[in-house]
Amino acid sequence: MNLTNFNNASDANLLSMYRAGDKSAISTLIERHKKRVFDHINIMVRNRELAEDITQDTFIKVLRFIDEDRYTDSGKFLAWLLRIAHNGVIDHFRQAKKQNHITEDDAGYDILNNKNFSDKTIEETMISTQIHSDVRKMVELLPSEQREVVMMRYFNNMSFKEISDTTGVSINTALGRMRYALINLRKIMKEKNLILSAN
Amino acid sequence: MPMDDTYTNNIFEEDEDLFFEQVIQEDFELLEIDMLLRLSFEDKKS
Repeated sequence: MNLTNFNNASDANLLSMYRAGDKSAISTLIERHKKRVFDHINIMVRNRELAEDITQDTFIKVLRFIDEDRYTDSGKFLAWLLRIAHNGVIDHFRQAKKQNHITEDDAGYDILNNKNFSDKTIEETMISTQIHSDVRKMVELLPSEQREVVMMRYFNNMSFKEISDTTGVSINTALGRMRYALINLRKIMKEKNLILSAN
Repeated sequence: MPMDDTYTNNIFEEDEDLFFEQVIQEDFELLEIDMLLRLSFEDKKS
């Protein structure tokens, strides 16, 4: 198949071609979505170099999952890609947080060489802290049922099944409340002009 | 059911499937709010 045909092919078709042995089909698929994935990651990490690294890791994982037949196409390839990218960003922040926990012993000899200390200025840390505090205040503005689900999920790390059991509503209701909570928070953030910067 | 790694991973994946399919519903801007909430409450816990 020539390049024009590749560009006109759907994601599902390109995947089928790749699985049938046409290795170049995957390059078209990656090129098609690379910018969208990069932008999504960069909005959250606000660092181009880091966003490029996480984007690359995302596509490595995606290829591995496809090669191991762990992806079943349901017409939502981009959604699946962004989900893997999103998890990559979560992993990055978890890792960064872990590295920031310095014991007294470490601090005696390694504190000046710690990448996180040198990468993030005190001012940036203060801005992040302020944004996080503002976000928590915005959660207080949500209707009580939505606020409850947000607190259970993000503060208590509960699954939707656990939230459903605890609050006595169905899982679908808990999921619906979470969706409205996120939509309302987006609205509140836009009204209050909070810049969406995750780090 | 034993709380081994497989069980935990299955529960985690199932929960994540629900989150992406029924909360996000391909409105990817909501993922940014999700990330902000995660970090904001991590900040509070630490």
